[in-house]
Amino acid sequence: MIGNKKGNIGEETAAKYLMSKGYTHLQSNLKVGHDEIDLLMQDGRTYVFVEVKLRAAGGGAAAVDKRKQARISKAAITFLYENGLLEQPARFDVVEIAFKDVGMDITHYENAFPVIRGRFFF
Amino acid sequence: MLSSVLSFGRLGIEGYPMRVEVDVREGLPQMEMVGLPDAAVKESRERVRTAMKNSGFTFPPAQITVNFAPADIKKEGPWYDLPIALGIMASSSQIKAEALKGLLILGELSLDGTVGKVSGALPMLLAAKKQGVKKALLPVANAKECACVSGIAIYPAMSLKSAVAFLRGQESLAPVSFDGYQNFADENDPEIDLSRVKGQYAARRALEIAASGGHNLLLIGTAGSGKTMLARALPGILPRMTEQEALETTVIHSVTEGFEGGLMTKRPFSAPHHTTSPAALIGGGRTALPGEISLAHNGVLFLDELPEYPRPVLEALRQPMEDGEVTVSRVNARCIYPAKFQLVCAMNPCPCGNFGSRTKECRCTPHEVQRYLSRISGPLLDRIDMVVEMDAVTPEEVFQGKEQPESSAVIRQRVEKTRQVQSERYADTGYFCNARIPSKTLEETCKRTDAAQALLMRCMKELGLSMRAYTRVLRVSRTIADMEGSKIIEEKHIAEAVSYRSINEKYWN
Repeated sequence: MIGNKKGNIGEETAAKYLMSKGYTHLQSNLKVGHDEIDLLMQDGRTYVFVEVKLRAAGGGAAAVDKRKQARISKAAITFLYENGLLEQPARFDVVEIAFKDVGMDITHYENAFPVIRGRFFF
Repeated sequence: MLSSVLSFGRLGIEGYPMRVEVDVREGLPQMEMVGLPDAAVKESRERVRTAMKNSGFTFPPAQITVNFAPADIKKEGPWYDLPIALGIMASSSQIKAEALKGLLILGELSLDGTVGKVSGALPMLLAAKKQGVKKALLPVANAKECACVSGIAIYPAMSLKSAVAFLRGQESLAPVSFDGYQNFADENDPEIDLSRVKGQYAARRALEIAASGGHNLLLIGTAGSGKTMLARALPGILPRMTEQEALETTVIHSVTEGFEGGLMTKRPFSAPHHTTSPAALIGGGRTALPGEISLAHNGVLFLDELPEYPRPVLEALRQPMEDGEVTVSRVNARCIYPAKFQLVCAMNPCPCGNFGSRTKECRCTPHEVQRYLSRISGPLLDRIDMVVEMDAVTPEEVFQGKEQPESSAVIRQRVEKTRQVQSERYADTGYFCNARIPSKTLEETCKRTDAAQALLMRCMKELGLSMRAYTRVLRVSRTIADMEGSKIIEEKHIAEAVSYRSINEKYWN
């Protein structure tokens, strides 16, 4: 599928970019229940859940709305809980990749949003 | 890490100490607030986050829990932004926790980190003084009004940045200085100067007596006789507020919207329209805010066109007039507000306005006049010390008067002298003017000659004065005697005081 291929390119690019910043790559396309986390990285001790947004025109970060944030939050909490990591520092980042005529623009939003508590947990 | 910031909350004009506890621990980034915060308090989450980032500080990506203790009182307003922000910074080791020790902090934050005004800072500071607080970090906009609270060093915070620099010891903030209480009321021209009021000598005299003793006054007169003008001139001849009075008045005004800050030195003059609701007059609303009668504390409450006020509004005045305070009870709050106001009312004698005029003819039937007057209840009239009749001034009075009428400043000097006599007599009693002599000490304070006593007895019988009316006559006669510097009340003083009651008889009997 083309969509998936494109997504994989985005995730690879983002992972490379973050590794160049000194992050450790733990896993791509981490599946937790029905939800998926694009990238799981580690910045020092901090677990970083990364959502990658790929857009030709840019502005993809705005697509991470409250609903999307809630889904990512739910997945992250489940993952941390199952692995006994809830007490560890963790955060959510968004990486936006915009295609240009030549090359691409990468914008990294550190600590982009706090945990959104849905009605599913706690 | 846990940190705790001292702050203050308030219910009405009563402040209570509050702790803002902030815990920052590792985990998924989130910020929880507990301790009964209302919507404005909860919204500080976004203000604090943005203000911290825009001021160049780190908002820690961690689990943040904020607790407002005691947790059983509803917290209101956006005043805890600064304590929350500084608590987070202390908990994430961006400032030292010791720097916050014993420091009272209040302040709203705007998104760029500017510290904004807190409503009702003065009552909170006064409560803090009682609790033994020694230093406070307050918004710069509140510093002026709070500076007069002695014993607390007040540091004015301009922005989150400067507050942090101060707490880190990188920048010194000079505590706000207070140069002692000064009243500049003289420099503020009164709204209406009495030198502009032509004629109406009887009413001017009555106004001076009312100002000298703090008595309630009712002006009855035909349309255009100058009732409103005279009433509006009253603040200009009242004595200047003492520091204590200024403080009391500012405390009440500071919790209302539109309070400009600084200590109020001008006596309040509140003139609510006759469509006012009882709650607006007495105080009320969800949070039991003060009403017009409390805003007129130590000043004048002026009710123009008295019969037009709905009856419940007028009758609601009766109890606060006697007690000098009012208890406003609502489901969520119960507040006691002081309400020592001087009531001045103006009204027409009949629907057409000409009843009793020397020059104009009244078109109303006796029944209409009676119905109009009966809108004022007996109990309310009983609480008004002085009733004065006014008729339209004649052209001769206006244009042929050779002497310029006395100015407000001259009259104020006399009034202040008479008040001085009273405040010396009532030192350490809790009241300060003749209108507030309690019935317990009335006889002792109002010593009178035998002839004066005999006259008073006769007037009571013939005019059928009630006991309350009797005490009011005595208080007014005490003021008239004080104006002449007489220690004992004489016949003429009683006679004049009774004359301000006997006009009632003409209209209401």
